[in-house]
Amino acid sequence: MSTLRTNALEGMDAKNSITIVAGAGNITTTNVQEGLVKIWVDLDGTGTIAIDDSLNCASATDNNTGNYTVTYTNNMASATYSPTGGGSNRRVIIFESRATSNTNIYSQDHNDGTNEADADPACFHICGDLA
Amino acid sequence: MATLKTNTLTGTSIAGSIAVTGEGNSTTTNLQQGLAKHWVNYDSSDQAIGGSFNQSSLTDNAAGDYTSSYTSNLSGAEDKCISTNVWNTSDDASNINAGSTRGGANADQAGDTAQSTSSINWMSYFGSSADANAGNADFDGNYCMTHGDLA
Repeated sequence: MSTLRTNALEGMDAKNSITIVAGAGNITTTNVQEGLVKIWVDLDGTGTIAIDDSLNCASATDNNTGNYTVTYTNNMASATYSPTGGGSNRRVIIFESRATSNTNIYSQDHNDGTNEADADPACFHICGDLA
Repeated sequence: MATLKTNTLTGTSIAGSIAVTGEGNSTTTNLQQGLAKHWVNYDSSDQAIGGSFNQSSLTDNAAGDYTSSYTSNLSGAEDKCISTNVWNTSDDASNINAGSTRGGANADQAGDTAQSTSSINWMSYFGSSADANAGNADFDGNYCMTHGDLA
């Protein structure tokens, strides 16, 4: 048993790339940076919008019913990152727009798909490269 | 190329916090916060768990209604980020589960169950239409992932 104590990890050859053995056969490696979710948020969109918890989120704006914009603390490298969402109580999270610094999501009522409706929680994750 | 061998990583200043240099070399992200704390792939049609992480048990409450219990609890009942989805293999979107007159099948957190640090109640359901709301349904693949802080 060994424990490495450190506050920060950097790659040796490239600061932004660390590989870790992760395969079931103890051979295959994966990339630590690429595998980490860079942004996640648990929004309460009911009433006054609130970020219950998050990673790398600076603020959330309530644009309208079921329409929220979340701004990041550290930007993504490009707007082609991969977002995935999850709502609650038959709310579906739709990504309206992606930018390097923010994203605009709609929370739609699955039982009435044409209408936006507030959700608590309204969650999403973003994978991709940081700027 | 350098290889570091260790079994455990711990922050020096804060045990549960290690910064990792991001892809652009200009910012860092947090290792612990970026890791999924729970995931499961559940075939509710056959009531079989395809794979999971940090899940002590999964209770199939009813059709399309599941409770995943964590092995290691989250720190806050509401302070977690859940993503869910389904794999609809039963009909290729050609009948009641989805189709042109219905929205797609989906999954989400149960709205009538209080959030908890030790478990998550989630549901999968087929699409809705103008005259029928989405009802809970079993699918061959039901996926749930949790991010947040461990206790």
